[in-house]
Formats: sequence, structure tokens, C-alpha cells
Amino acid sequence: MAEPPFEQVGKAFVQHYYNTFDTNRAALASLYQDQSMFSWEGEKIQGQAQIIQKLTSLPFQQVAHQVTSIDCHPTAGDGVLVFVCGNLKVEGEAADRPPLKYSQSFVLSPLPGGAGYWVLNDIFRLNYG
Amino acid sequence: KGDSMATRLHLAASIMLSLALHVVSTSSLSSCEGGHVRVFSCLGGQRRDKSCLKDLSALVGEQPTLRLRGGSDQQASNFEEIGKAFVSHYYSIFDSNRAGLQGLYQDMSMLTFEGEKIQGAAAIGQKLTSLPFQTVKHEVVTVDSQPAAGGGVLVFACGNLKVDGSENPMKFSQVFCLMPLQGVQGYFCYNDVFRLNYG
Repeated sequence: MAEPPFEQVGKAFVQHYYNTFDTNRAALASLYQDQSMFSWEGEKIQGQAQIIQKLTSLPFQQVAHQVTSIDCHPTAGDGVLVFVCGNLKVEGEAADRPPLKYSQSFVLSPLPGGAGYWVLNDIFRLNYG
Repeated sequence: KGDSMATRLHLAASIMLSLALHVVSTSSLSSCEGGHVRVFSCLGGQRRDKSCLKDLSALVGEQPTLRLRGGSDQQASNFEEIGKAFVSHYYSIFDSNRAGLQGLYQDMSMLTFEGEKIQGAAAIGQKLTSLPFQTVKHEVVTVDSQPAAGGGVLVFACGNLKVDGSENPMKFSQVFCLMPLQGVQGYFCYNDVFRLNYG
């Protein structure tokens, strides 16, 4: 049986998002709009410019996200709720150190004309040991 | 002086709300209007007990209502309070009387529990009451809330849970999308995704 569209959208988005994050963080800008809301470890940021400013000023140069689970639901406004859990490794960390665990929730909102999706809601939390 | 009075009232209201939610966690909650603090509607034929809410409203007094503006296309202006109140209510019921959770969901509600997808209040209620433990205690460490489309509230909770008196907490994350009820005040849980965060 074919995967429902919201699953395809969610998984494709997650791959694109972390790929971009890990190689060229500034390019994430196109995923956000003025109404986008981002909570990063409890800090609330709104709007594309502010969000990209926050993401590009995080205190590391290199990071690698490793996704361990993706859960998707259709949600209000023809959106897609995407819930991701995974690990992230920041530059300079010894290879044998346990990775940082994180969870992140996105709500994707459709662009007009079926052109794709943008991020309306984004909440990121580290899961401390 | 007005500001500090408002702060004290707000703090008192928050404390009373937490107590009120705990007290009524096994019965149905209704939302109240006119200076009262809004809580959740639990549907499904459960008894509606407003008696402790009267005490709450007496305490809140002239406090402005935590009121959702307008219809379903407006943003929830008090989304932080809604999110925190929901989380407190949800885990309180979960830990004391899991069967009571069913009233927070509707036919269109979706739950994904550790990757297993379930739809509809009845099936969700069945899943939650059949989880393989007798007792559980959730400890919420963080709650993040944002306004969502359609007047909803996105709520992201992280914390620890202990099952059947175990000394070893398990870490969890859970995201909810709450949507306004139709025709009555309050919210229901439209989306719910739960994941353990393994060490």
C-alpha cells in the first residue's frame, strides 16, 4: 500500500531540513516565513529573519543530525505535524562520547498552488541524560 | 500597586487552577465564562462538576478572563496558559485514572504511540488503558506552546516517567495539537505523538 501523502511530505521534509542544517544552515531561510514560530530550548523566536539569525549564531560550526524516528500526522489547516527524535554530534566532540539526544516538532503549512510546504511551527529540545 | 496586585492574583489563579485540575481530574471539566479561568471540556457523557471552579472564580475575582478571541481562524492569544493547563491536566488524569483520557479526544483524533498509529477516541482510549503497567507517574520537565493553525495550540512536553513504582525514570517527549471545540468553549486533543527517549 502506498504511503499516505502526509508521510511522504514529512519524511522528505526531515531529510531536506537536516541535510541543509548540517551543510548550509543559512539556506534554511526559504523554509520559514514571517509567521513562522520557533522555540529553541525554550527561547521563542518569530519570523524568518530572526529564526535564521538564531540558527546561524548557534555556538557551533559543524553539526551532524542523525534521525532515529519520524512520526507524521495530518493536522489543521491542511498541515503536516512532524515529530522527530534523534542524535546530534557537534564538532570537536570525541567520537566515543555519547551523542546529544534531541526531539523536534514541526508543523508544515502548504504553500499556495501546491508548491510545497513552509514551517509554521518549530520546537526544538535537547533531551538531557 | 495595581501591577503587583495583578501579579498576585495571577499567581493565586495559577496555583488554584493546578489544585482545581487535580481535584476534578476524575470528573468532567467545563469551561466557565466571565472572569473565570478557562479549563478543558471532557466529552463523552462524563459527569460535569463545576463546584471547585466556583471557588476558583471567587479567588480570581476581577482578573481578566483567559479568553480565546474570535472564531477558529483567530490565534489563541493565551496559548501558553492553555498549553500548560492542558499538560498538567493530561498527565494528572493519566497518572490517576487513564480511562478518563478518552474524553479529551474525538473521532478525528490521531495518536501515535511509540510508532503505533491509532485513530479515534474509542481506539485511543482502548490503547491507553491497555498499556502494560498498573501505575505510572509522569514528571514534566519542559512545556513549549505555540499557536497553531485554526485557532489551535501546539504543545510539546518533555519529561520523565516511572512505571509500577520503578526507581528508574524513562525519558519521554510528547507533542499535542489542541483544537477548539465546536459549539462549546474548550479544546480537544486532535494530534498526539508520544516517544520514549532511550538512553
